[in-house]
Amino acid sequence: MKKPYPVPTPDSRPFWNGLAEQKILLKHCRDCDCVFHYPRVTCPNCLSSDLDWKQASGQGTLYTYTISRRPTHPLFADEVPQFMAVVELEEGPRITSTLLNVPEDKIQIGMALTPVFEHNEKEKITLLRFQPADTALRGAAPSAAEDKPASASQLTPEVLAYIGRVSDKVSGYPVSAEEIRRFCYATDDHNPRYLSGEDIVAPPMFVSIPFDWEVPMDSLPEDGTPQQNDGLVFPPLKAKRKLFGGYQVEYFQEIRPGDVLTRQRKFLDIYERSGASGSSVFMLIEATYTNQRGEKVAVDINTIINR
Amino acid sequence: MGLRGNAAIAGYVELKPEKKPQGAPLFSIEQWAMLAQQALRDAGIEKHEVDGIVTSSIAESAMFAPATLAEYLGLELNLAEHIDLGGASAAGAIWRAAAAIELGVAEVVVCAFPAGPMPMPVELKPHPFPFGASSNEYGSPQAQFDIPYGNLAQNCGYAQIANLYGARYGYDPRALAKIAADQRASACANPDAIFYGQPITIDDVLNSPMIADPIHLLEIVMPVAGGAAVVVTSKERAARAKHRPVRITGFGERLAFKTPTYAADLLNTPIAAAASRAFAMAGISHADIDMVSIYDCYTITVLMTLEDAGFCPKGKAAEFIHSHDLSYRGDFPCNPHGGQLSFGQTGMAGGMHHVIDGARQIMGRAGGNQVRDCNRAFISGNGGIMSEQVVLILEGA
Repeated sequence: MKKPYPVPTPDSRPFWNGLAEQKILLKHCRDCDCVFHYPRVTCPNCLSSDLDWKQASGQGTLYTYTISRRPTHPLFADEVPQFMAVVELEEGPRITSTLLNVPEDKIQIGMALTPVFEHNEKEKITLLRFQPADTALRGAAPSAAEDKPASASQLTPEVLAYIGRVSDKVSGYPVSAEEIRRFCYATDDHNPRYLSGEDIVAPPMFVSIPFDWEVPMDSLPEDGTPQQNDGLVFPPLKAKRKLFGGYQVEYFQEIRPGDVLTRQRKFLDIYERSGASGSSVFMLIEATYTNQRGEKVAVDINTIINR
Repeated sequence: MGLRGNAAIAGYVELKPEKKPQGAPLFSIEQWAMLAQQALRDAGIEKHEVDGIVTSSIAESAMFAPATLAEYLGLELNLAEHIDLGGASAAGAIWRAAAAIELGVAEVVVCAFPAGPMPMPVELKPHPFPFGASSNEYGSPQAQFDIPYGNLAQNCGYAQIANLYGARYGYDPRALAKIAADQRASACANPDAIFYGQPITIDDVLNSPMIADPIHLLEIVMPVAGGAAVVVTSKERAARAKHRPVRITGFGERLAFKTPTYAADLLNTPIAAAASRAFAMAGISHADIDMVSIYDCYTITVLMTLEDAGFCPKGKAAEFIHSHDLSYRGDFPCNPHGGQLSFGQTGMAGGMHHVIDGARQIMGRAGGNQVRDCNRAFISGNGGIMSEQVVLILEGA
């Protein structure tokens, strides 16, 4: 899942278009003459809908702030420490923003601020951030990496780019009654439905077995997991230890001897959780299984925790 | 205007909070039924007498929650209320129940707030990024103007309030930390509290990790599983129930914003209006209050409430906190059952912790945590980021 960006509405679009042109537009009530933010279809002072837009000077003061040492949400882990600000514009309205270009010890409630229009070409949106108006107060905030190496986010843009990537479609070895029996004896499952008779089926957890290829010990991947040959490359992470974090499957069809399953995997999500002992990266990998008739057999989601 | 004190709390249940729940998970509708059963048994009131309910959202029923509950529990209702005031919901539920009873609309109202683990849905749709109390729906003001800047969840807003308070009145971190330490002392006399047996000092609080300046880890509630329910009935019916009736003699409710950015004045919280109305309605003064149970999601919430509710002058709470023992055995008992900071925050039932805290003390059922001669309690409920406030005045009959 990607970071949330604003989605303009018909009523608010002029505000966002204004930011793209480095202008802060505030709604203005022609009946009571008040200006307000955020945009609404009625004036919060008198409920009139006789409204137009006024351009703000852009100058403001810091009404209040906090420095969040933990991500306010996993999707903002890359911004820690977050300099969360409420800015009071010269015209009166307050606005949610963050502070840029200021060392922690220079932040003071009431300090004069000036806007920074941060355009994001990919999202086609401009966010409004603020920095000290007094250039003498500007300076780099210590980055998370310098401040606390343990808490630096592992979710670099490079890692996040893996979300949505898909593997090749690969076929597993053909399902045979012998292979189903081997699996059942290994898992101590003596259900006769899997073991004898004309119409045997595979137990549900069998679904991924045809994709685990035996390889010699010295050909095992570095992490010791079964060899996969579908070309899905894992993102480069500092965390090398892997932990199985859960498995969920949804079934649509029985698996029977003679079936040849095809599987395609996909990075459904990658996110980070921080705790006292450092951060863990959660990877959610979804696999879709189809049979030789093109019918969807199952979809599973594996959670792998890297720490 | 307002309540005449003719409705009373007759019984309650507050489940022991659990960090890692042991029992089998129940759907919230099932939890609701079990909570209602236990609260009615506690009161000594029969199921067939129930003619009103107040509920928070029910996970299995996004719409028609009251009707679904009526059907499930087998109730015929004259009052069916769904309340959506975050942490102020529980206190809000109590005055709504009391008002309906005084109007003669209902006779016995159950207010239940399940907060236990629920069974996993059959078709699991993973949502690794819940936005919780912040709405990221298209068209939601927060989704457009706050969340993209990382302004979501609770810590940040409360920290912004604390910093603003500090800039205007001065910030005394030791006073804030003492709130947590005093409440922990109460929790150490309450075997049900999640932090029972784990006393802390002011220095422990100040040495815990900084989460969002100036708020430390031990100044923030820990979410736990639980659940709570309260039975409200007429004064007459309560008199024939099992316990000393706890009359609801005053309330106030006030809200005006959701995100602190848009508050008219973040330092004059809605508590002030809610509290002054509640005191005026009850016709009593602060000196008449024997204990307070203040919604304590953060220590700063308690400090702001003490000031805005008028227990000490604006800007003087630090002095007040240093000069009083806030534990159950102290001269100003505040959250004598441990408060959510030390009892644990049981989701939406967290607000009910404070209602039951007051009722338990006035009924004289607080065991080792009993405040002596406790007849009148001030209860606060707080939702959002100090944006939704409900105050109750409870008095023993």
